[in-house]
Amino acid sequence: MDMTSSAQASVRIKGSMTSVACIQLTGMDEQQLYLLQDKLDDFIDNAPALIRGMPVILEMSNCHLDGRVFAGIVSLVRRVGANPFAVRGCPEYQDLYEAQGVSYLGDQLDTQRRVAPLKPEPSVSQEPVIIETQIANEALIITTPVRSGQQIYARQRDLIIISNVSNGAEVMSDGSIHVYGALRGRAMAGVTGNENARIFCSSMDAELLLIDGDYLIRDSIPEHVLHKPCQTFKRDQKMIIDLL
Amino acid sequence: MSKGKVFVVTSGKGGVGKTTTSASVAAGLALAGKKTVVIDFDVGLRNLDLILGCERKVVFDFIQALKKECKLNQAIIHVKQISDNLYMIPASQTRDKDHLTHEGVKEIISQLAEEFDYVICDSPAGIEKGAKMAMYFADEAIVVTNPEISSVRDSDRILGFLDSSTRLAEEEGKRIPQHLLITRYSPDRVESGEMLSIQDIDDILSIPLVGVIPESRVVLDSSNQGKPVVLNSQDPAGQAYEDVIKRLLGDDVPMRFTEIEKKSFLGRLFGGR
Repeated sequence: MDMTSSAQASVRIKGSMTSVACIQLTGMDEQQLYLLQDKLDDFIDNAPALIRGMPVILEMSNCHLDGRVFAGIVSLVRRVGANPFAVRGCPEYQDLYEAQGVSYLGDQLDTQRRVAPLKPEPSVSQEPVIIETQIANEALIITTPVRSGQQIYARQRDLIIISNVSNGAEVMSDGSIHVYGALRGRAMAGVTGNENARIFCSSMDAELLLIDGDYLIRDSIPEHVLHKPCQTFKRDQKMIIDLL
Repeated sequence: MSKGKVFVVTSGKGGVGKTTTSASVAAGLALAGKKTVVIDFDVGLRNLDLILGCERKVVFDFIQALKKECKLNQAIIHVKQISDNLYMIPASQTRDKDHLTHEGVKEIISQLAEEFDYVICDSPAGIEKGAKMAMYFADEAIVVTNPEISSVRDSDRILGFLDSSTRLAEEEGKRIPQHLLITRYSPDRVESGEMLSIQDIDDILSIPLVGVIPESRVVLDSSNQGKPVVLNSQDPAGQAYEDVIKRLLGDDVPMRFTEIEKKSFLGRLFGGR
């Protein structure tokens, strides 16, 4: 018995790409800490399920920090249940970050990277490429109706609902959302920054559709897709709903 | 000794007929030979004693029994004038609902379930403590809904709580069976588009239908007289409640009063209703 179990165990260290939420702090200093507190309080009122245990990167620009202020920022974020594990920006405070056990990821901010010109991809790779396939995180599957007032969040995976999502219910996912039933509530896909996420449903009647920060409210959903099976996705920063 | 079944009658929205339904279901089960007790959980807004016509017999109440200021038996009123099998426990009119504790409610309900075949918990409106306590120890739920959108949405919210916030859900991960009861249904008004149809309600709530009670003037009158409407077997509403009892007891009875009644020849000739 012991032999087999030790043969199966293994430790591998490898890189992985995961989308992570960012908190962008601009011009933060001791006097401005309350701004962060207010914002976090708002957030936890709106989406408690989303923030609990959420890994967070702090993006600093033009901040005036000392050890106490940075410790304050970290504890405010931890207080709402999120985990600030890394910082980008403001390299002059690197020592402060490390003193709090937070990794420093360099000076390049997410916002800058987005506008950076795309590098031309080499058409033929010089070296043999080894692609390690790995089963993606299993989807969260819900088989019962999602009722008004309920909130469901699939962290770092897709969300599949084999029932209706009622008015006043909220379903969220870091990936795509699939509703095999009527979607009458609010659906938010790619919430931690995945613009390729999509929302599928058998009957479109949503209060709100959101993908990676862009959204459509009920009034802006085109008439011809209402009550029909369709998918919602983003193309060139625009929300598009197509019949299936 | 078999354990009695605990039902909660709930809705979310107020004024849809929870207490009327609790009284009629309890009275109907009692008349069908089941020893039944119905508890008013609406602390501070006591009503069930009026509907059952026993407001003059109230001495002790649910909160007092819960706080052990009296024996449980002293708080139970025997509603003999309706049935030898019918008992009720009134809500406290003066106490605060903060006295409703998990341990206290659990102790009383488990004692009642030993002694009675059915324990009916009449929930207050809303989603506060009283409503949550009324549903927590239930084995099954009757969700009362009127055919209008706000009532249906509130019922949807309550169904969410029934899925997650009962003892069976928390301890055993089970959903308790849920029965939909539509009250104040009027086929004429559904036809003219003023009211949601049974189908519309089912699309949203999608739980099994246990009955449709037609709108009837008799309901108000019955409440005022302290006689549950189920006792009025002449009236469609009373008959519809009788059907509900049969379905709860496992009989397969077809739905009545859900279609527009065809007027007789004379009726058509002279108009009116």
